[in-house]
Amino acid sequence: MVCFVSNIRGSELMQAMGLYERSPFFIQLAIVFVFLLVLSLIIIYTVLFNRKFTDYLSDIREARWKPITQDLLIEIISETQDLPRNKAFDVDRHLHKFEPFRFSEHNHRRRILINSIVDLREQLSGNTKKILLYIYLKLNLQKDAIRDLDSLFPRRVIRAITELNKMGYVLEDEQMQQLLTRKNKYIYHVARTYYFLYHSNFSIDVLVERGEKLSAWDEMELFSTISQLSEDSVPQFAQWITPQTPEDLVALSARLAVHFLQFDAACQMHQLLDTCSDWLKIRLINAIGKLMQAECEKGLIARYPNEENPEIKKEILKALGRTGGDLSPDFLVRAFLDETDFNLKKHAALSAFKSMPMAEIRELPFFDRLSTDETALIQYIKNPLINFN
Amino acid sequence: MKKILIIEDNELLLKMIEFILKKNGFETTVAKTGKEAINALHETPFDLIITDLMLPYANGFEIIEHIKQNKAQNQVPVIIISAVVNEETVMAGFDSGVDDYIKKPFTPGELLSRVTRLLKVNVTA
Repeated sequence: MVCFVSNIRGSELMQAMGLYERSPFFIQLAIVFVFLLVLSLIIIYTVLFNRKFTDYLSDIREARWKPITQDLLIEIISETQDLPRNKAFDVDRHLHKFEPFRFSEHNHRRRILINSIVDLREQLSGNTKKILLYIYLKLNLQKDAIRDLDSLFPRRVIRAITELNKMGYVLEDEQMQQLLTRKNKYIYHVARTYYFLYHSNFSIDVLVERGEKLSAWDEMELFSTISQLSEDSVPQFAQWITPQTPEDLVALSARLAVHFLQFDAACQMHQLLDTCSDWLKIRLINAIGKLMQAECEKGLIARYPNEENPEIKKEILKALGRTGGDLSPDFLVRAFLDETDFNLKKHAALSAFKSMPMAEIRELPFFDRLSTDETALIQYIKNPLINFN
Repeated sequence: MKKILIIEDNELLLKMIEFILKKNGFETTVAKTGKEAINALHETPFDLIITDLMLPYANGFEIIEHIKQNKAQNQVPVIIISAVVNEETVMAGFDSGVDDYIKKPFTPGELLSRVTRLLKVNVTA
């Protein structure tokens, strides 16, 4: 039967080949084109059906194993954490309950377990979080993620780093460093977050060496990551507020110094004002003001008349309103009276009179000589419903 | 037995809360969406409602508004459990009349303490 079929197919094929060879060139080209088209359609459909079938199988497995896994986890957690009806923290006694499900042998079951642990760990805190990490490590579930770090598929690497990050699993410093060398930008971004959260020796030098220009999004992402660090692992950010550090990183370091209330960094910021760009100057003056360092007051006042950029002048006025030094009140009042630019006048008034009671402002010697606009401006400042920017 | 309605779209967390409360002697009804919650509220009176804020079909605030407008249930204590922890949302939660706001991540023990405080029941060890 097979021989018969192959004979027929053989003769038909020979006939078709002959026909093809006798055809004009453009017909041959069209035949090749149609053949390739049909072949690619077959491949695409095979891949699609395969994917659909895999998803279908995975859905069946998930429907079966997810409830079992979740119930098992919940049972262990409720029996081991400090609820009033429970005894002391003792997870080891319950680990044998995982054995009948053979998570180590079945990838899909293990994946469901890992996802459930990661999901629950994000929702709960305290002892439960520790119990979930303990189960994760005891069942050696981290090995999948560690293996996937070397995968050629970016999606897998990203999933692995995200999993380790959410589980609080710390890789070796060298391994973290290697992840940062990956060219895929999505991998790099998750690896960078992981690096800053878990590297034993925190340093933003890694960004300096890379020489990348931080976008506004990058800055926000890095700030939110680094600001999660515990107080004892936070370095002195003043060490990166130098002329050698790229300006975007100086701005980030200044923001972080403000967040962690590193008051000494204000002097470093002040020293840098002579050499940096206007963009950075605005950010540094803002940070100095927020750190409320009266030592920088004199320098800022001296700088004010020489600055041409109104944005910088505005930041100086805002900063002086916050620093609370002895020289600021007089300077701010003078700026309010003398300044011709309305925006600057407004900010001078805001910084000078915001915390002063209205009755006290009325007592000021110049109050009667103020123009109608200036009096209105002060009244607006004292109105809590008006937000000045 | 006190009846508690749990409204949470995360299946695993929903199970976890349900398990803890059942284990401590409460009767629970669960809803994964705002729609299911509103249906459940029409069917049975509850002693306490625990709700997430971000839910499919109707968000937590809409459910709270529904509860507070219903004369039969507007005295039922409500606890919000949410990952949204910004000041405005927490304030909005209390302004809408909720009795407690639990920020995610939370401990099961914390949830149980707050539930027992609101229901004025004792969970014996």
